[in-house]
This record gives sequence, structure tokens and C-alpha cells, in this order.
Amino acid sequence: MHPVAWIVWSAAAGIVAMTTSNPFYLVVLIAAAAVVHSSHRRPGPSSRSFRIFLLGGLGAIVLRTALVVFGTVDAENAAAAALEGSRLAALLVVFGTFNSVADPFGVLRLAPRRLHEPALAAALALSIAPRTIAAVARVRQAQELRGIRIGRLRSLTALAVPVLETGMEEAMTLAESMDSRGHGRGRRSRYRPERWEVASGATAIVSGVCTVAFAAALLAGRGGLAPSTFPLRWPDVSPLLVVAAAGFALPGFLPAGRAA
Amino acid sequence: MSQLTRARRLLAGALVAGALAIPIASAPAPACAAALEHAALVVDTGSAVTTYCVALPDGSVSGIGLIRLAADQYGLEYRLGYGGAAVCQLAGVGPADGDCFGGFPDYWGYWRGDGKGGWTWSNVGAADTTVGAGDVDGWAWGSGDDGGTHPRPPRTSFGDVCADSSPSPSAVPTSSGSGGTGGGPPLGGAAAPVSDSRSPRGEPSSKGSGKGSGAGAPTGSTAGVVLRTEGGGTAAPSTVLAAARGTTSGPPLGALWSLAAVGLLLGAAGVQRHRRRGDPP
Repeated sequence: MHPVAWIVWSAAAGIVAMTTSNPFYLVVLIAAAAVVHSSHRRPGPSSRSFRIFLLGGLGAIVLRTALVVFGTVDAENAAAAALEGSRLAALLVVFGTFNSVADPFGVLRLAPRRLHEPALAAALALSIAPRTIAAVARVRQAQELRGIRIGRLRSLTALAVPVLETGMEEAMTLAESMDSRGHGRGRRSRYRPERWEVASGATAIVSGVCTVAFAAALLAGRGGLAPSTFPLRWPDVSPLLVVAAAGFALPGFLPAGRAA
Repeated sequence: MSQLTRARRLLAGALVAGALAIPIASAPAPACAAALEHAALVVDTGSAVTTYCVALPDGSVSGIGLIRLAADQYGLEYRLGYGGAAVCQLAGVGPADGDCFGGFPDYWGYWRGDGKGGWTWSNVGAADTTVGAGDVDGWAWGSGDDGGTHPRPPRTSFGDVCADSSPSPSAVPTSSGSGGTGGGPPLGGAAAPVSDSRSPRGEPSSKGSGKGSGAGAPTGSTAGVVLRTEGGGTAAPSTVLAAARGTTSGPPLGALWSLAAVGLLLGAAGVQRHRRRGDPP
């Protein structure tokens, strides 16, 4: 799948999450992202991104709802907070899916020459969270094999040094290997250009259409995009928009094509 | 007079007395009126003016609270924004999405009755004001930054809305101060039963409970809701809606679509995972 297709998909899904806080649409969007993730996740630590961001999203909902205790606590306030949290959760899940399915260096190759270094830094940064978590797991396992048992609280300091060291080593290795492959300054290789396949085109087009559906509903003020919380009422749920949200799952049913 | 005839007369008399007693018994006695305080709420959408005599169970309430009470007691449609501190929509007019200035330059202006039927622009938000017994709150839809430029509701005093001096209904003069041609029919019929218009959950007379015509056809209660429409008919949709929205409705039908979609998609995700279970992690 062409990296631009993933960018279009993620941007479109993100825009849809921004247009509505109706949980009946957001939950469908999240489920669609789950389909895409389980079908197109790339092997490696980045596939953990989905779970990380999903948990982060749930945490966002809980935290945002808990903040209600600082003001008047009633059902309406709590519902409004939960809806805001779920919008954020949907955005996080979309981002996590993008992280797990898109090849960051495939995206990087698209960057114009001037932005190459910042884009490189961004690509490395995107992969740092899952790589660090994988490193933590490896370091713990190594310590246990050596018979080093450290209590829970102290384990943080005991892990910090090896994990940071590992991180530095990995970053250096990555940079060197990328350099040797032509990702270095000004020496970008065009040896394996990405091709637009049917799957990529279909993904981009369908994502665009689904976004237009939500944008139209937003402009028309219909479809229950903003549920009423003062007073608390069940929102409208348009089956058409449910289908539009589910449309984001399309890439999950298309073949991955050549591994990019 | 035979005994049968006498018995029949007695029975007829008892029935008539009973029939008369029922509305009288259900109408709150003056003592009740004193025990349960009321405030007046005036909502001027620009094309229709509706007034509500709102019972105050706790003696005093904020401006926002008054609107909520009116919604509970008379079915007023409303939407709040900014965490429940600002009024976005009243009686179906105004944005419904929580952005109270989405209809800019029009918005709901908040007026406090000055005790003589006139209005003072409120400089304090409705969440922070106190409305007590005998107070009048007014809301007018229109544009204008302050009391000098924003439209105000028609002159209304507390007595116009809550005629609590006598328990029996009396004809309320339909104020033509609004200059409307439609000006609703005289509420009146002193003979019509009052049918507990003052207590919460009473027959919301202006909402018509199905008689959703713009001219309203309120049962002759004066202490309830007075509907005066100018240019008629525009209140109809909201009255019908309010009448229809009798009980709290459940989740919408589209929710089933949503849950079905989620089920199908998660099932598909599970299938994909199963298919790729041999892949390296």
C-alpha cells in the first residue's frame, strides 16, 4: 500500500473524528481502525502502537471524565466530559493505526528534499515509543535470565540505564544503515519507487468520500454529530453516517500488495 | 314523590356535585399557591412569545435553573452550552450543537423584570443570577450587544403570567401590545375546568397536548401558560414536538446499525488476526 494512501486514510479518519463526538459513530471508526491494523500491521515493534494508543485512548476517556469532580458533578457534565474524551480516543487510535501500518521510511521518502532532516527526525521519533517498550521487555528478560531480581519500585532505575543505552545503540545503528542505503543528506535513492496500486487508490478515494459525508452532515447541521448533553438526550444516529464511518475499514479487506 | 324518584334525584344530585367537585378539588387552593412559590419566565423568539408560570420547589433558583424547571413542568425545549452555563436554544430557536453563538449575530439576550413590567438587561450570566418568588425573567432572540440594541420581550409583569390572587380562572386580556394580528383567542371560558395547571406535570396548556395550532387553544387556565403568537402558526412545530416528546425516549434506531457495524468489524478483525497468527510478532 502506497504510503500516501495511508496518510490520506489517517488524515481523513482524523478529520471525521474531529467533526463529531457522537459515540455511535466514533466507536465504528475505532472498530474500522482495528480491522485495518489487524490486516496491515507491519511486523516489528511498530505494530504495538495500536495497542498503546488504544490504551491511551481509554485512559484519556477515564481521565477526562474524572476531571468533572473539580466542578459540579452531575450526569450531564460527566456525559459531556466522556464524549470529549472519546473524541480524543478516536484520534489516538487512528494515529496508532497509522503508526502500525505505515512504513515510516516510506513516508520519509516522500518528503521534499528541504524537509528531509526534520522528516527523518520525525520518522525516528514515531518509532521510538514502541522500540523503547520492546527494549524494556528485552532488558527485563535478560536480567531475569541472569538471576537479577529487582523489586517493582526499584526496577525503574535498574532498567533506565540499560534501556537508554539500548536506545542509543539502536538509533546509531539505524542511522548508519539508513545512511548506507541512501537516506543521508542529499543522497536520496530512487531505486525502489512506490507504485500506486488499485488497493491504494481505492483506500484514498473511499476515505475521501466518507469524509465528505461527514463534512456535509456537519454543514447541514444534521446527523446528530453533536449530541446534546445539556439537557442529556439520546443523539440522532444516521445509518448513512454509520456506513460512512465503517467505510474506513475498507483497506482491511484489500490485499496488502507488495510489502513496502 | 315516590321513593325511587327521590333516590334518583339524590343520585343525580350527588353525581352533579361530584362532577363539580372534581375540578375544584384538583385545582390548587389558594393556600397551595402561597405554599409553592412561582416565578415567571418569558421567552420571545421574535415570532412568538410564550410565558411560563414556573413553580419553584426550592424557593429560589438560577436563571438557568428556571429554564430547566420550565422544561420539566411545561416541556420547554432548550439547549445549553459552555458546560451548562449559557443558553443556546429556547423553544427550538437557536443552535443545538453547544455553540451558543452559532447563529451570530443573533443570540439569546437575558433580561430581568424590573417589577413594573419593564426589562433591565442582565449583566450577569444566567448561571449566576437568583430568581425568587415573584420575579420575572425574560429571554429575547435577536442581535445587539447590550440592552440598548438587543430586542427585549414585550412588557410583562408577574401578575400577567401568574394570576395567583384568585384560584378560579378569569379571562386574561390578550395583550395586543405586541401588535400581532394573530393574537391568540381570549383564554377564558371561566367555566372551563382549571385542571391543575399550576402544578408540575399538569396539562401544559400552551403546548396543547396535541392541539398544536399556532393560535394555541389553551384550556382556560390563566395560571398556566399564556401563548400569544404574532403572525401565527410558527409555534406549531415546537408545540407538536413538545407534545410528542412526552416520555423520555430510548436510544435511536441508528444505534442498532452502529452496534451491528461494530460487531461485524471486530469479527473481521478477529478473522484477520487468526489468519496472520503465524506471522512474526
